[in-house]
Amino acid sequence: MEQLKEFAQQRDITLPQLAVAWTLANPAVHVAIVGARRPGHLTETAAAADLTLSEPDLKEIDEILIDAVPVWGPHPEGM
Amino acid sequence: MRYARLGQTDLQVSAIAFGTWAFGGDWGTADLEEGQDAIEYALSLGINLFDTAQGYGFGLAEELLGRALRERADREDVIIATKGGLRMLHTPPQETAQALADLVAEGKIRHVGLSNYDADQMETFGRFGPVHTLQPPYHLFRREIENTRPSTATWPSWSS
Repeated sequence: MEQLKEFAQQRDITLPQLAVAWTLANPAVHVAIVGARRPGHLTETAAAADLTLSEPDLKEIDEILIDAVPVWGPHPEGM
Repeated sequence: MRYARLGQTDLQVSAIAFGTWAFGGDWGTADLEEGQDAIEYALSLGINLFDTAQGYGFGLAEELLGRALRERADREDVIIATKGGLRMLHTPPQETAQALADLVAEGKIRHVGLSNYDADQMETFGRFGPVHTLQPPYHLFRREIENTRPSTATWPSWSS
């Protein structure tokens, strides 16, 4: 997680923005669903629709993720 | 905002959809107002796709979304993706697929999407009725769907 945070910081984006941009970078993905309880939550994540991650960026993220331990937060899948 | 054609539908949707799953059942008045403000704000950002379900916040999410969108002149431009929830898991796929196909024919829903199905389940379902979208769990820490890769090649032939 720290490494991902650093990766995002280096590109002047936040971790949530990175997460959304990464999901949308997959050509099979048309839409990323972003949860929001209050308006402020969206300011950051909505802007991620216009971010582009390069091939080397995606490769670097893959390398970071290989060592990552999944972190579970509240998620809609079990609801 | 960037827009894309959603799955096998003819809908142009925002690349960012608003997920209402975080709307809680224990919300007070202030939370409700903030939730409503969040929906308004999403619309102002160009978000036109809202994801909800009967089960989110024990019905609160659907209700709040309905209330926020009802009075809007541009309601027709907003797309809502909702789910019947667990009920579907306990019903044979052919019955569910047929029931949803009927709802499309009656004009009550516009398209049929599957949520949390893998490629095999999707194919089974698709033998009995239309499937236009798939909503799998997919994010940085959940990538299994990449291995099943529901490409257009595995989409059921039924698509209207």
